[in-house]
Amino acid sequence: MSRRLLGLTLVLPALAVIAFLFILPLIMSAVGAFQVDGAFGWGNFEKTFDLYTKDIVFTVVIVSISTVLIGIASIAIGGYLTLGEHPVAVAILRWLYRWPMFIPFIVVGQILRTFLSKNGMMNNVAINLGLLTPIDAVSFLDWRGIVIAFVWKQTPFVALLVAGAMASINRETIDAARNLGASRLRVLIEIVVPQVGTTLTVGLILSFVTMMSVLSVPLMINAQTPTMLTADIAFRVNSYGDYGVANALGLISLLLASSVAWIYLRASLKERS
Amino acid sequence: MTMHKREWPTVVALAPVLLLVLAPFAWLIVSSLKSEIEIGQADPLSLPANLMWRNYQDAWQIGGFSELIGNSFLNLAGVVALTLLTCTPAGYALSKIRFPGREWLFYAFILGLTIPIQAIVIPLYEVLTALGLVNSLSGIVLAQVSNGIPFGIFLMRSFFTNVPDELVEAAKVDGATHLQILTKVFLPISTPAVQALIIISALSTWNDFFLPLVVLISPQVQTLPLGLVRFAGTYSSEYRLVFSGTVISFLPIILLYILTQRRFTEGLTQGAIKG
Repeated sequence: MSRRLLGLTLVLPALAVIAFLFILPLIMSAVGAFQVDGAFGWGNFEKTFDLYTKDIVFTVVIVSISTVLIGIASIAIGGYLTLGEHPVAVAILRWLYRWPMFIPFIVVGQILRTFLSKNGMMNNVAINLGLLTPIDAVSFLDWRGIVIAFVWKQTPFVALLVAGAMASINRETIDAARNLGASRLRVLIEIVVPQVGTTLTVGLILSFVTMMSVLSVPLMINAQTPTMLTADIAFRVNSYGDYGVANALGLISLLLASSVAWIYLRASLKERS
Repeated sequence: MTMHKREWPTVVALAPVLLLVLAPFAWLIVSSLKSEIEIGQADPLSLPANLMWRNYQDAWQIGGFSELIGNSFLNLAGVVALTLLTCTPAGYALSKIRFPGREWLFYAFILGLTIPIQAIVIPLYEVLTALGLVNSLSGIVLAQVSNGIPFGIFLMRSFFTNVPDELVEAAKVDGATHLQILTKVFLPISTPAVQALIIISALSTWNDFFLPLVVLISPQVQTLPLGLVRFAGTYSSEYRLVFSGTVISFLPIILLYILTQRRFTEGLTQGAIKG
């Protein structure tokens, strides 16, 4: 069997599933987004931007803030696991930080809905400690709740990848910098982080796309407007049976996610060439 | 010793982070063992006077968790098996067999990583309806496999790329075909990556809410996340049931984590996912 035929044969099962259940629906979604009453046009997009511009901006801002915070937290965790000198603290952090990764988004939403509400645990603890009076307690069940949920859930995944990449860095360069008097923060920022840039980018892009696709968290934590695009899609379909606008919203989500992924792809191609 | 003393400010700074990770878990588990009156007292730092294990018994029976967990396990088994069968050979071919268009094919798969599920969910429902697969576990399995293939191929190809080409050449000299090289040489040394793929695939399937919400309509075929939402919605004022039901829903996956955390970490960090 020729190499080309063999290669394609091994790829074929995956390709067939993707073509039929991923690419075909994607094409149908694109066609559906441009279809208005049997004709092609921009009607669904005009309606989408009329009704949901705020939500598009809200989604981009929420996911971007979360991505930045996840990046910072992952570097901090990975950095401490790599450069930390207190073995017990390193061991505790290593054991603990991955837990939220295994909790479903739906459970995260359920936990945080009661945890962050006006009379939830967070405010109750602050009141019991005398840090807050009951009248000053505010609910975090808005954009802040979504960001907290995303950062809580996604940081471990990126931190795991980043910590793995940091662990494989040549220790000699780190030790040399430390011997020359560089602080750990400086070593982290100037030596360690640049060497794990690709892994960090991959992790953050995967997290960005994952957060763009989450329905349960915005539904459970922030049901009011503005909300995220996934909640809007569910609303258009369930309440109006409006598949045209729902497809348009889906296509806009795709463009947002793809534009971020393009950064990785461009960097990856540049590296290879 | 001096080093350790200098470390304490960092350790103290990490404490709130650890608290933030643990507090929601601890609060949920403690609350799930309280009576409805104790939960109503809104004192999050108090412990239950008597451990109310009955909450779990009630939630299990009322919520029909045995059926939900059974459906979730069937769903998970199907997705994991098909993901392995499709991603492992594809990852090998895209990494070790040189054929025209290989790079572009890989980038086409990678493009799948960037597609949010909401962009395709409505037509996907139409395709599954046309195939008669809506409201069936086989329908959701196929949909989730297609969603997981891009990451699976990415993971396996990354791992295989780090295996020296000399290994393939040596096996070829010994007369092995590519299929034999994959099954007898590469698979045995790829255990960490395969295990990581199994765990990630199991995790995302177990936790998936969006696709089952669209594909699985009748309660008889629904998986755990859907059942939990239905249960929490119906008994929203009975916190003891909602809390214990929530704990039941993530216990199996936490168990999986405890049993597999070392292998999972190895698979994701030993050569896999380096871009």
